[in-house]
Amino acid sequence: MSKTSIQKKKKYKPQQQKSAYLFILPSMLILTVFIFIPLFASLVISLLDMNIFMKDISFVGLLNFVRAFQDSRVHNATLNTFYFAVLEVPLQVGIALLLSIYVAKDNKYTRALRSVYYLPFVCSMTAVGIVWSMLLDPNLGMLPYLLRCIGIESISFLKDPNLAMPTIIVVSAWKGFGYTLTLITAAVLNVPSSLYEAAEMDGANTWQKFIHITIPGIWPTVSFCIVTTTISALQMFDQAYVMTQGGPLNRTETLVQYIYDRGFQTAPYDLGYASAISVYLFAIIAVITFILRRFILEKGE
Amino acid sequence: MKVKRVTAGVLAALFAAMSVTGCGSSDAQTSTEGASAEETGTEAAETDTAAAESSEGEPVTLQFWNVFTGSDGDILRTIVDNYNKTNTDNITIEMDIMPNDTLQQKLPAAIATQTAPDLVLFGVENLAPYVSNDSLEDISDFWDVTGVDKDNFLENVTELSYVDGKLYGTPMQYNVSYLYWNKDLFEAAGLDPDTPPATMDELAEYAEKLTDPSKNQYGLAMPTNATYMQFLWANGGDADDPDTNTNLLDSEENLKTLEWMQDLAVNKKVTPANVTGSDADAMLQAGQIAMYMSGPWQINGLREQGINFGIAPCVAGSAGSFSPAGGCSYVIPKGTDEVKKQAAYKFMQYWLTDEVLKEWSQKNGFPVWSKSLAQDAEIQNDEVLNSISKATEIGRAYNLGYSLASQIDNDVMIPMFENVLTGAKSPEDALKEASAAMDNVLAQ
Amino acid sequence: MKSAMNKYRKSIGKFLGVFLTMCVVIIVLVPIIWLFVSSFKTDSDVISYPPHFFPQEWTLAQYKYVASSIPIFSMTKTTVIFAGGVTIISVMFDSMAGYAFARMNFKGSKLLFSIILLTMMVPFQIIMTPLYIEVYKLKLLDTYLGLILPRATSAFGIYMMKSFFQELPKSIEESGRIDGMSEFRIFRSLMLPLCKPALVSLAIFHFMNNWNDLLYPLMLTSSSDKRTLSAGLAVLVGNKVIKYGPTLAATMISLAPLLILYIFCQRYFVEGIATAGVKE
Repeated sequence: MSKTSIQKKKKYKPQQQKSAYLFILPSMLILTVFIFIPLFASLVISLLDMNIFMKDISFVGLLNFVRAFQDSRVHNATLNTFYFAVLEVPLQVGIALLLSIYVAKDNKYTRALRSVYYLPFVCSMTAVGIVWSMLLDPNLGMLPYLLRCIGIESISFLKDPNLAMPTIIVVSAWKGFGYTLTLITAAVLNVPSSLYEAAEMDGANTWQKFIHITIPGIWPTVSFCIVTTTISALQMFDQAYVMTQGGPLNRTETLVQYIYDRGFQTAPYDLGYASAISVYLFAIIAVITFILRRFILEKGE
Repeated sequence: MKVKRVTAGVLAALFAAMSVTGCGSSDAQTSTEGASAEETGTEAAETDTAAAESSEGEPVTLQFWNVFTGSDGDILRTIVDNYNKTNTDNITIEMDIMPNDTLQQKLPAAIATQTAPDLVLFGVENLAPYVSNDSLEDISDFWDVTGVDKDNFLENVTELSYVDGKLYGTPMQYNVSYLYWNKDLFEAAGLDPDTPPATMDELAEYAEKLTDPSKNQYGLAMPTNATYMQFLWANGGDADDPDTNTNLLDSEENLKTLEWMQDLAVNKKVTPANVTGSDADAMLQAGQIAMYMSGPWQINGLREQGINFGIAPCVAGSAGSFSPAGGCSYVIPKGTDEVKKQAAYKFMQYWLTDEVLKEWSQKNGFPVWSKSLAQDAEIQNDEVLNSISKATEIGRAYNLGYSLASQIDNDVMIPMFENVLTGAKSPEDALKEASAAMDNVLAQ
Repeated sequence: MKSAMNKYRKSIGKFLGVFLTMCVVIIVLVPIIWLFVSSFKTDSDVISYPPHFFPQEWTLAQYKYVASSIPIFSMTKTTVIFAGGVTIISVMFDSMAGYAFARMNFKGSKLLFSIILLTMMVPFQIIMTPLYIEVYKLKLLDTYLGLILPRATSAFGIYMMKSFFQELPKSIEESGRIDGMSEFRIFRSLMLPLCKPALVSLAIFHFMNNWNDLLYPLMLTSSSDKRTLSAGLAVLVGNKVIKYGPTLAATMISLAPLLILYIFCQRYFVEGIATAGVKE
């Protein structure tokens, strides 16, 4: 896709260059002041012994990082973060792909379906979390009660150490699949219909058409979805914060959650340490994004 | 390449500018200001009392942050509104309620940047960490300046606002944990609805009788995100000694208590599994829980839901019966100017009048700790407040005034109880692990 | 024989499709409907056991409680100013930057774009405290400007607009240049009108995100009249004791404006965003 837009000539016209810089100036200024400087500040803070009161600050070098690498809760949070991302991303994108077979057509009925599917994405994570944790509450909730009525006892979803994370994954996919589906639908509708007609002449069935024509045709969009969903999955916080607060037994505590706990929830509010874990998380996200873009995008081309 | 170098340079310069003006100067500012405030302090106090005598002073607006979300916030708001209307000192209080989490994120940064409010109301467990970071005003002169009689209040209440012998806040409310019991469920289980369990053995026995899984009914709720000092203390155990920084966890007494708790929770299943405090609150209000240990804030909800409940002291073990004491205090953040500080004193003084304390206790069910108010006829005839004041006598300070308290709770005690109550670890292992974690925290 | 078999297969496939899509409709709608009807329940009804889907008795008590506890209308006003302000400014800046990256040649464009993409990977919690201090230093704490400015552009928006502009034919700006138009005029009068759907969908995306945001507005405001709706409603959820009834009503109130907007503009939500089907 990008081939069409890449300009072959590499000479820069001075006049155009000047206007280009002017065009990006506002955005660059804002991103620099409100994201890069704070991020850079975090990086510096990670080398300091500093709490949120910002008194008695001292330089400790890499001590915070050494501490982080030895902290079993950092290990646990890292595993949980991957657990979430590795299952949530395929689930959300998979559901969207599966449904796109049926709803990626342009008629009234499918448009209505897509509107409904998009609904959870409009709701805030806080609202979604409150609703689901009440529906799934083992003692007062609707779903466990109905399961009990048909003879399935004691599934406690968010309260069960082994089920809590899978439950959060499903709820997250519930909230996000409609958005992914909309992106994929647009891509599917852009695949030239002549390709399908040719395949039908060769006697291909629905499934074969999907695998051999649709998937390659929409791959750039799918990979965009995978990359962006993965980035946000690695930053998972709201879901667990609203529904489980990292419990039970820290089984749903992610890295962002642990950063938040050290920096803002547990006195002495150790900002230096929280920043060190932040830098570690940022490195993980950057590396994974790089790898994903390398492999998924190359595979597409 | 050039662009990269330039950006890097600009970034570094900008950050350097920010960090210098940001952290450095605020330090300098507070220290000089602290010194000058002391000098001008008495002066300002004099002018202020003079102003008060002439009844109408300059208008003062106080920013007031607190964590009273939920229904007690409504009552607090009414009292503050009333104060704004009736006070003769031209003081207006602008109240901002926020979740406790948010307050803890904003207040330290606000104090460091001199944008803090003039008055804050939060739990007394926060005092020590804030004081150790020099973030609260020392208000030891409060009793003298305002003429409020300190001896009219129970000493165990006022002492919660002291850190290292200096006063940093004035008491707002005081609480311990009580044993709530549902009288209807007692009756249905064939127990005397007016006799709550008094010992740990009785508690266990009753809890078993009151549990009926077929009705989704549980004898004793034990949330997993809580600490159970009342049980450890009842058997003669303890967590730590804040005065000497010693770890007291790894003891026979504690092991016995944890075994008892795990037996109740895991084998006898008297508690709903893996509930949080707020889940348990809801189930108590729904009549699914027979017994529960919690603070006075349950009373309003239970009344509203029409639950027929009683309040008793926490149960006793071999060493007696105890309950961790807590409370809230009004504090003044560091850097508040003298005029506003004096205005804040005025409001604190207003809160400590029997009239206001009575309204707060009656509407919220919090125990009375003013000696003169305790003589009030209406208070003496209030059944709930009466049973509460008996249960309040067993209050015992737990790590109050200790700056590591919140870390001990979050990193040591809550995980230990959670492991025991969910059966994730044996009591021996949970205790060993917690003791090691305690050593880690205390080593700081 | 073969065609009959095919037909049979086809109708099975069709049936499966209808069944599957309908199941998903139910799974999506039931929780949302439950939230709506439950906000009309009494306190005891919300936590009753066994649970009931519909209220035993319909009541407005929870809404009245919420309305009496917090200034809903002034908070809604703040939220509209905040989310609306961010949306307008950000769409403008995002499209300008996206345009430059897509259609103009300049030194360092690749590097700068990668740097911008990096900002997508920064969780807010990481930069929260430095940001607070910075906004304070700029004397913007607790002002609308201070709320809007840090959000006035986004990597996602730039990324999305860049991919959109890349799809447009090259001849457009060339005709503009021949007419002697300035770069900004080309952008303003030739390119922008072509990407209305993308602009609308980006606007909706920003509006939605900022409307729903909780931590950010709580952090950067300190007076209750600068509180946004979702942040203000968070205050209702009790500290020690959660009141479930008002919580549900409050949740419904914070969702309602967006849901109503969604019902009327769903074409833009669903189809507009689809143009963000970003291509590398």
